[in-house]
Amino acid sequence: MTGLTQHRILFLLLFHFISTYSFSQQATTIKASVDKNKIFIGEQFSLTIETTIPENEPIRFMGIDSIAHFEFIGTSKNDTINKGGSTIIRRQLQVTSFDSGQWVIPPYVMSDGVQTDSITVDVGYSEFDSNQPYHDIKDVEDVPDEREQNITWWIVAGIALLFVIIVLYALTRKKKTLAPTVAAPALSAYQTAMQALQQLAANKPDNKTYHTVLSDTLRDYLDSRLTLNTNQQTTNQLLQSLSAYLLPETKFNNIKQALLLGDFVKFARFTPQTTEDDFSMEAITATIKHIENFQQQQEAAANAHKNTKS
Amino acid sequence: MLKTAEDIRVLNERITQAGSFIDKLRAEVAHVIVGQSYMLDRLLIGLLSNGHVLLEGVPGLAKTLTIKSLAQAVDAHFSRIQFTPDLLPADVLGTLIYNQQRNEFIVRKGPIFANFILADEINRAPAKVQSALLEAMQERQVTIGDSTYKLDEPFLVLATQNPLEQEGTYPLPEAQVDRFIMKVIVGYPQMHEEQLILRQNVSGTKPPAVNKVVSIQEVTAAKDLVRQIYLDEKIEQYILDIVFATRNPEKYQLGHLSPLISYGASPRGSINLALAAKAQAFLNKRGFVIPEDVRSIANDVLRHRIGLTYEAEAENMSVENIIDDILKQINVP
Repeated sequence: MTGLTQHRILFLLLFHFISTYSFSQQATTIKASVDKNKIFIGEQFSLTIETTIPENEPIRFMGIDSIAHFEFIGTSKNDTINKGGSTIIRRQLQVTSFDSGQWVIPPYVMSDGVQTDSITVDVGYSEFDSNQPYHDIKDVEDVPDEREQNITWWIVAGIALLFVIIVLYALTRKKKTLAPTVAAPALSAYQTAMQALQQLAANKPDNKTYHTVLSDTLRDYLDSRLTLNTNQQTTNQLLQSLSAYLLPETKFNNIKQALLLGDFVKFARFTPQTTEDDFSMEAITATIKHIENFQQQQEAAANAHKNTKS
Repeated sequence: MLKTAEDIRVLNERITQAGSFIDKLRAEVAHVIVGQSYMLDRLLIGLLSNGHVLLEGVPGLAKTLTIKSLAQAVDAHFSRIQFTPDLLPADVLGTLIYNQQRNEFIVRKGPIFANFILADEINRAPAKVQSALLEAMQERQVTIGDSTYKLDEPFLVLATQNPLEQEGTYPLPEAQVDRFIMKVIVGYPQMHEEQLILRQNVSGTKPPAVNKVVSIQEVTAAKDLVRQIYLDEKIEQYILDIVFATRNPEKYQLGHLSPLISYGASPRGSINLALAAKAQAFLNKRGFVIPEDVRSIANDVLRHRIGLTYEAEAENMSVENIIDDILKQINVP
């Protein structure tokens, strides 16, 4: 190694030492930068503020609340990096503007002599092409709520699961031996009426109730068997309705007398003799039987006629 | 108050005796009036139940003549007031007149001081005259100057109105119409009746005079008997059901009527239905009321007490249709 080479190596080592030392002795710096200098109205861009703090310098950073003509959309957390003994603190801000024009992000001063550069940002409209067809501003569209869709799917899944459980339970459970239920045979209107009359004869309530039940039994039978709505008819109207069923004169007079007697008992506090009560009972029973026979004959004749036709 | 069946039986006998004048009255009026027995019965119900009757019908149906004949047959004082737009309350009630000779005001009683008042075309007079008459009908007394005068008994106002001409008329307010026990719609006579009317009128013979066959005392006694007629609890309930169905039809499975009725009958409707049913029982010579009595007069007692909605009018539903629907739905006791 020659003396000249040794001098060169020594010079380089010295230079490296001096340059490293001198770098470590540099002051805190701050700089601001944007990713776009030209945006459309409402378009977002990033404003990055980065501070480099040398070792032994106090850690500090500055926050920006607002910038004239610009709106903050969002702010990232401070990103801290240690690099070669220095600390770099970086924060990124999402910014936009709704004012058209050329605006300046002013220099921000952190301390004496430590400040950012000003940045110019052009905010403009998109280019308008008059040859393109005109499209009106679109209405606000609802964004489907994904949670609702998810809930629907969960409900569907739940129901399906429940169905599967029920099916499995039904297939696997032991079959119980149920006693066969015997449905009570429905009574015909005629049977109901006869039963009511028998009960009335057996119970024998007070006069007013007795004649009210007698009259009501006849009316209920007529309503049920012939759908005549006699419960809403007066005695005279009821007699008129009965006249259509070819009651023999004696029977008709008897039922008329029984119903009129009922009116006397119900509305005039008349106290009938036991024989009169029995007479009314017989008259009502005979009328119901007559109408039942009459109806059965009519139905039999209608059936016979139908069979002959077919 | 009737307690026992025996009381009712005795009342029946008294009614049969006292009610015999009804037949005489009908026969006497029938000398002059052909047909219109329905209207005459309604007038008698008004007379017996102490209520006033509103008659509605087209001109020429013998409304005036029937009322006049009834008054003549009863030996009562009759007066007729033709209601006109320029009529004043004093023309009906009476007024104070200055007597120069005696140097004092004397009372000149108006035509309302009579037993039978025919208020002809009542809707042609302005409200103040109608109001004066209706007040007198209700109070049965009239105040002229400083003195109050009781009106004679029996006092029966029979008002008529013409349903055809509505121009220049003053329809009676609902509150005042409610004071009439019945509103009777007078219909046209049957063809055979009209043939008789025609013959009587073109023959040129003088119509027979109506004789006085009933005294006021007989009418007063009959009115007392009508009040005593037995109204069973079941009939009371039937009346209440009918009246309440006009107010709350949906409670009686008549929900389809709810949008058609703007207001139902008032409690005065229940009272008058009961009173008129008693009078109807009297006409049938019965000492107790049966459902038929109630049904037969329900339309006449209730038709002016039920308000119809525009919907009902648009559907051509009449009050009579509504009452018929109610009667068909309510169970008869």
